[in-house]
Amino acid sequence: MADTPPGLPTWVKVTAIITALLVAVVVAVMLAGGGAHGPGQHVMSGRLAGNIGYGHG
Amino acid sequence: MTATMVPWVRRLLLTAHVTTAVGWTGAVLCFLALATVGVSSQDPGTVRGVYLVMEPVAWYVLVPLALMSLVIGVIQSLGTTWGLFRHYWVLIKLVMTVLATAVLLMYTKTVGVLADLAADPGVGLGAVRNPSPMLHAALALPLLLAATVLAVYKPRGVTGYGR
Repeated sequence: MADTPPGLPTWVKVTAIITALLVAVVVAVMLAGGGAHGPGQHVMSGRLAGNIGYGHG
Repeated sequence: MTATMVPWVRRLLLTAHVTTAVGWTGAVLCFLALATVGVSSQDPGTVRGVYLVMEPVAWYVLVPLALMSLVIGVIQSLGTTWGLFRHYWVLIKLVMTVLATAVLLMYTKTVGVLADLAADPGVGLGAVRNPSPMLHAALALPLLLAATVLAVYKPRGVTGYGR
């Protein structure tokens, strides 16, 4: 590994770009859903509603 | 910090790490299959059963495998010349595993809520069905596969810390 040139390797740069794009897509989808990211957004009606927290989901 | 492990310990940890990491991926595949049945089955009993069984699968299979994979991987890296922060592939794999484990731990709350809904006969099937587990499993799968690819190919690249 000593012959590795200084600076970020190309595969790391490509991975970083792909990751950034994926994160942007996920954030956009979450925002498009109204920002309510959790089980409550699907099931807030009915008598269980009082017991449902906004966990990650 | 790098200590040298005796070969049999190194091999034992490698075996444990591969087993838990690949097992985690397999468990996510099973979870994805369950989640797909949950949103597509026409049988009410099957749909409720799927969301009920997701909770023990998450707590007794996914979470232990994720934590074991993470902890064993860290111990392994510190006991070999790879180190934890010296090589980009190890560092990126660590970040991916920590991220996946953290999301999984947070998601157990959602899985619990979905199981409670499924267990309540007063809740309609439309409220029991939820695409969220399928989405999360589908996102976890490529992440875990990418981590496996990194572990197998070990692409070159030394961090500033490792120089």
